[in-house]
Amino acid sequence: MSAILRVSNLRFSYGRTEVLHGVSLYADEGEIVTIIGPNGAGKSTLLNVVARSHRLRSGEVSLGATDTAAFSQAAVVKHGCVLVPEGRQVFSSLTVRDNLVLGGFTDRRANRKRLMEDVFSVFPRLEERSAQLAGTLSGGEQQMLAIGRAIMSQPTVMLLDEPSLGLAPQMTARIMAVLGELRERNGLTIVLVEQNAHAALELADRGYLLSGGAMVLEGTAEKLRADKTIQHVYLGASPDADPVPATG
Amino acid sequence: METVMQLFLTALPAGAIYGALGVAYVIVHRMTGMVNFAVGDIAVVGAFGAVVASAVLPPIGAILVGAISAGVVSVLMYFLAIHPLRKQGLMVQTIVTLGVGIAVRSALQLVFGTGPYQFAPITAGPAIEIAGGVIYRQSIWVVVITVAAYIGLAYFFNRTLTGKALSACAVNRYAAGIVGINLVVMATIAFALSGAVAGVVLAAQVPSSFITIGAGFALGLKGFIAAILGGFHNIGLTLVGGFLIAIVETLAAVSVFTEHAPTIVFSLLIVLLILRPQGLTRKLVAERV
Repeated sequence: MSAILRVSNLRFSYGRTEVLHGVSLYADEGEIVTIIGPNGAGKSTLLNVVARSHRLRSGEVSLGATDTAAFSQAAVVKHGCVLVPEGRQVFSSLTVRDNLVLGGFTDRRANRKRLMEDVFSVFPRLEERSAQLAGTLSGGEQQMLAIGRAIMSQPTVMLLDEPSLGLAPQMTARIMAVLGELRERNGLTIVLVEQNAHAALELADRGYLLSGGAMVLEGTAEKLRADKTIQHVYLGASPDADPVPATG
Repeated sequence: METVMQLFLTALPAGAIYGALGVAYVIVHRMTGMVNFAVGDIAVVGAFGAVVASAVLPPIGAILVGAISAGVVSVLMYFLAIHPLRKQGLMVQTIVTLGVGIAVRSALQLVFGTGPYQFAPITAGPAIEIAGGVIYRQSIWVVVITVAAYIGLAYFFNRTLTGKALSACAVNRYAAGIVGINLVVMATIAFALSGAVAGVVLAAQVPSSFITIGAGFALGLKGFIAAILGGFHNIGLTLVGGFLIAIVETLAAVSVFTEHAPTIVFSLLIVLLILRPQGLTRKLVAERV
């Protein structure tokens, strides 16, 4: 299987401070890949460069066989790669419905009505609130809206930046379940950046540990769950715990 | 009663112009966050565009040409003076618009001298009497064109995808980029609309009074107050604000303060900013961070 998203040797600096030191990763079609790591590791920066909210200066990002070097933000979305950003970033003073409509901005000929029905079937709550202003939704509902807005662009690759941030455990579980469903139903490829390593590694097929702007570990989710460092630092196990995947 | 009616009829077209200029501020501000102080002078470009076109076109065509010329100059200003400074921040961009205003004024003066200029009204004939007050036929056109522009803008912002995308940029530029909205294209549309709205209404006003090169600055400031009354956000309330300014100004002009009408208007601005920074809107627009 060929990678639908491939990032090679990506470097990125804020001013003179380099925060990504030649990062590489790939995701195969229909795969769920997670990137875990401490605060300030460069996880969000990485996603923002892939989605071109930050400029790509050094390194390569390709979608399928297409190199995205010359792509604008809109072109990345048109090519099926969409970002669900950290902090939801919904259009707070627009209605839920308008937020969704704008999610399909890059494809004016798309059947927006059908897409919206799709979103509503995944998140019935959004249909109930479709006339409400997005800013009045709860955190969990806003996260649903941010994902729904991304679905409207008919993506093949969805990048999610900390979807569980600030959510109750139940809501986090619900969001993770939906991501799994989207993969099953639409064959969506998902790149998931998470602080909640536990939930992320439960869902993902593979994972990367990004620390200090470099990939320090990669492997199947199973392998990462069994890794001592990850267990200790990210899964909250005690150092001498039995190296068995934590559950519950 | 007749005096009140006359007051109303005098304030109506003036208020429409202040309101339209205020709307021109609001459109650019909603999209970019900056204040475009060249709005008044760009409106004057529209008025002069109409004056020139009136040599070969009927008044209504000339006014349309005025709208287009102001829109074009507004877009040129964006690409030549604002876009290159996008990394310098809003304050720098806002200050530059003051410079652009002066440059536009000087350029007009080089071409046209100081004026005044006028052209024929859309509908010829004497002023119309309504309930004891009189109003020029052309002034009615000014109000009609302003209302039409309002309806058009309201439809554009609330019903079209591009209009919603513009609103989205105003709410959250980062997220607008993420869904694939091109911010430069949206800013271009905003500047074009802003210029056209300011230009069309001032051009429509030319037949019922005169237009001079220097008119832009004072008009622009009154439009600025109207925009503040609209909370720099609400287009409808900005138009209402423009009308309120015209009422105050007209009252001052017919009272003992005839010569001090502008002073009164601007003093009111200061009081207003202290008492109600949110203008006529219900609350300050807060951003959830």
